[in-house]
Amino acid sequence: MSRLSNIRLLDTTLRDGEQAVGVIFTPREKRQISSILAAIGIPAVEVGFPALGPEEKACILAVVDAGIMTKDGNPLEVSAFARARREDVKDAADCHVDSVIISISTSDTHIERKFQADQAWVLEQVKEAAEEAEKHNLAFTISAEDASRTELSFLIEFFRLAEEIGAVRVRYCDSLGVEDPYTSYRRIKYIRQETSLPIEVHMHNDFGMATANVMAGIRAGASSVVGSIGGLGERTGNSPIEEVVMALKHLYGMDLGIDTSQFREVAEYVAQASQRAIPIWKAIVGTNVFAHESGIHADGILKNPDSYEAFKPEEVGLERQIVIGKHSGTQSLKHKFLAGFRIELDDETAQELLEKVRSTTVELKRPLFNKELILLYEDTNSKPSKE
Amino acid sequence: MSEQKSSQTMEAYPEEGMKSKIKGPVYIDDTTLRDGEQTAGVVFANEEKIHIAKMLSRIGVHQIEVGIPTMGGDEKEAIKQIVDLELPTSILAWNRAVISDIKHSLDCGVDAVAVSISASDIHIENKLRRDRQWVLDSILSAVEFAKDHQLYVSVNAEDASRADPEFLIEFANAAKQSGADRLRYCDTVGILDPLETYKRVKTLIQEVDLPIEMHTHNDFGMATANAIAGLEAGATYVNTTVNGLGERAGNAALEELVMALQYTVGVEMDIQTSLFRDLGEYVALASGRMLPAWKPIVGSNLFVYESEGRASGVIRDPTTYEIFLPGEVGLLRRFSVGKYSGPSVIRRKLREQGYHPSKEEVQKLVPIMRSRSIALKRSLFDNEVVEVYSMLRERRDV
Repeated sequence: MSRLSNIRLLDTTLRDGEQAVGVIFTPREKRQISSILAAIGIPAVEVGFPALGPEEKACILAVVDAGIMTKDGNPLEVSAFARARREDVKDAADCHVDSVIISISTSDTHIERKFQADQAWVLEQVKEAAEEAEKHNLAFTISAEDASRTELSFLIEFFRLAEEIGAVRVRYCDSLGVEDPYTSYRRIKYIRQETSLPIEVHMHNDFGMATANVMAGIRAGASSVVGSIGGLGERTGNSPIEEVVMALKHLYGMDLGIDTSQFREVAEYVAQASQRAIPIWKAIVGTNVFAHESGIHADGILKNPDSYEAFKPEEVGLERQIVIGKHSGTQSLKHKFLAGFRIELDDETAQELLEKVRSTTVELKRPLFNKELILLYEDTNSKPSKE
Repeated sequence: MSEQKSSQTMEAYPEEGMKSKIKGPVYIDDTTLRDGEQTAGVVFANEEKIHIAKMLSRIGVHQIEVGIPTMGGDEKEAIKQIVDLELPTSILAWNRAVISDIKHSLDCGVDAVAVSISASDIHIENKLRRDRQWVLDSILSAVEFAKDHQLYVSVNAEDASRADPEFLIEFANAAKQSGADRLRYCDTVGILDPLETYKRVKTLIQEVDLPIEMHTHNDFGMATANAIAGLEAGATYVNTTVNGLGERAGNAALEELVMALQYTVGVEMDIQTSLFRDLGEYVALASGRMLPAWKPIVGSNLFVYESEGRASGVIRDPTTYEIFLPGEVGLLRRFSVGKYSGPSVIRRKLREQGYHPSKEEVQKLVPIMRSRSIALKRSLFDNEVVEVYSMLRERRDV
């Protein structure tokens, strides 16, 4: 069915994810999350920012020392984040990670207003940081922060320099999530034409388009994606890795070989560790994604799940539910009573019951529990005999 | 998913040129009260429906899709009451392509109706258990009936994204011939990506002379981007919900769409965006669904700065990390001290609290605050930051 794809995934739940305000992982959690990610087939993780100090270094070492293997029997690639500074790279080397992300802003806004420097200074910083990485025999990615607001000509110059100094790949960051998919597509396609290193995309969700921008980047030739579980990350977060994996599989027919049936469980673990509940409507892993209430949808689902489902709930570790509420129809009521209570409703009873269900749900402002349904049914059924 | 399909979709991309093709204006038809309420488990009280309708009208959406009159009872009553408000906004009611449904809409006095029917074979055969001709006949009779009663008519092509493109054109032409005012393109199962959406809507527009409305779902997290892609291809209406409330993973979010059009695409929208946070909170409460702190546009954490990299930039100049000012959506800028904080945030926070630490003190505070935050597994409260600073001072003074 699907063809295998050469898209590489890198999960940054433990770095950009942890940078979300108020989120902190313990060393045990960092190790545990790395193991879980490896077990479902994620090949690489960005685990932290060593320059933060001894606690963070201990966290990263905990992951490195665990010697985690992926589902496919390869060692998990453990990566750390560094600003383009010698001392940050040295801190990463101290943690014995497999690779380091050397990051610096490339947009004029950031260079002028944040660094109060110029483009030549940026290139110099990167060169020095790369030298330091070479010294420690560390593989490195060169990351352009705020790439989406960077003039294309400078971005090309920056990425060409990355190639000269021996980077493994370059990272294109939409740090503020300001791109729309067309712009991502056009810019990355152009970069792909003008440079030769593999391109990694890192997209933020400020306008709700992170996943769409990643998909556009892949169409334009990017071959590596940074994502996080549930999209955890600064402000509105990153592209959720579960959305990218499922969209690649079901929209593009590209199977990355990830064990998607564990997605719900992984998301739950990260939700607990980050103390951020998974919204029930979260795409791919929310518990309501396979809950159907409206008469039309429930009826369609009962006849054939493909009517309203792009993939089966089991594929992501969820279950299908038919909820009885304000928008339910007679077909789902009949189904509910037959399957749940072994009661066969005739058309007339179903219609009468439906009206009661509607007024009761509006009054209670919620769907009904089984017990309430039975009570309404008894109420409906007893009336004719009384009269 | 076949090899052929994937290679075909991979080739699809819009023509070159960096400028947006949206000429404007873009009309917003908000469906929080219909598709939003249709979400499993969500029920609005009638009073809430009325209040949300008022707020939507106030922020300036062009049309409000208020509900499904054929459900009768409370629903019909709420719709009548909304119509009676005489808001300066079109009020649209949802119907199946069935005359009896439209009669219920007429009872409510709405000025517009959506006439909805599936366009995909998978729905026509499995759900409706009919054939394509039956679908076309249903459109014809329902739309003609609605037009005879002077209603504005949107024909909803349900599951359009999985329909045979040839049949979809036939479907749209039937809508046009029977007098419909627009066609709603529904990605009912949320299976499109933006470049594919663009291609398909563009083809449809070339073949059919009807205004197109985008109705997109978020199953793969791309609802907002797909709606914009449809607009880029020439659609002029878009169906949104507050907070993206809607079946399963929800719909294109009103606040995301408006802000993305303004700030990423560059289309001027005449919408009172400063009410977005208020509206988001109201709908969150009424729907019993909390607003995540990280929700795009209206989440409470969006303008909170904790990590040194961002905080130092924003303190120098907000444009380093802000595309729009927090007040534009009814939020506030805040600073918070946590694991990723450095000197800028700590200094800023202490100054807010009325202290003026020296450079050396701030340098000493960084690792202390970091360790505290790690030990507590959370950000620090303002009074904890002050306490740590006081302890440092006392020790020095001793």
